[in-house]
Amino acid sequence: MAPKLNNCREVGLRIQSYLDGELNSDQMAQISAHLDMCVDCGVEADVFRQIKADLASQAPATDDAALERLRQFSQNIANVTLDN
Amino acid sequence: MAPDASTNTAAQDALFQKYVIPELEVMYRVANSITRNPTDAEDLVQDTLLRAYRAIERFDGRYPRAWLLTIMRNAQVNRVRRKRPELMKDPDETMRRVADDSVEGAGAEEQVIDQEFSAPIAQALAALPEKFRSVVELVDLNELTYQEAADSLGIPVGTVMSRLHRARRNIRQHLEAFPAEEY
Ligand SMILES: [Zn+2]
Repeated sequence: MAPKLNNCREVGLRIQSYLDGELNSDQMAQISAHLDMCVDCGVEADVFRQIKADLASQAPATDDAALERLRQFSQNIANVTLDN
Repeated sequence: MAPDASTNTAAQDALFQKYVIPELEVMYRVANSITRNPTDAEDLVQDTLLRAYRAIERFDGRYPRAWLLTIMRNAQVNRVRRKRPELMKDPDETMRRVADDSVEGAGAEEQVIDQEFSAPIAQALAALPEKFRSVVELVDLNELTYQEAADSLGIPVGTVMSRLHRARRNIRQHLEAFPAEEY
């Protein structure tokens, strides 16, 4: 069995992967349990959670006109058989 | 523009509608992160769509996004290769490019000035070196998985992870050094 992730160092190394949902379910559960009982790691998680949220808010607005042109382009590729 | 009509089949069209069309927006967002230019991004997506259409019947139906991002990555590599030899062959073209670059340089300068009035998080993101910024853009702004970001950039997943984590620690330091001003 893999060693339990129950010390702050081990958790600290994986905290970003945890927040990204990029660990296996076992590790996700172990880190989640640690964060519930460890204030320091909980604060650390909050910092990166906030950074992720702030970054997500920086996503540029969708360029609807460009997307519409690409949708049209896609239809043109796929509909050649129907056109003749 | 369109592929040879005689090779079009209804099956091909159906697969294209099912797997490719739903990913159009993600493809365009990723293309913008990769090319840093809306016109090039649109071009790159068109190129990717044509390649995907031709290859769709060989696609096994698993992870369409990863499949498309890999195609896009290959298309981008070819585009960059196609551009470079021109630089060597045609001195006039080289001069035009230098001129273009200096125009772009001015744009970058304006962006930096803009940054002074924007949120600390935007400044922190803009301050990252390119290879770190593109990973952050793909994962945190465009919500790709590590694997999808790796496919888009043609780098190993472990490299995505280490660049991303380092970039966020860097952003954290930046935010701690330059916190939002309170009024
Ligand atoms: Zn802890």
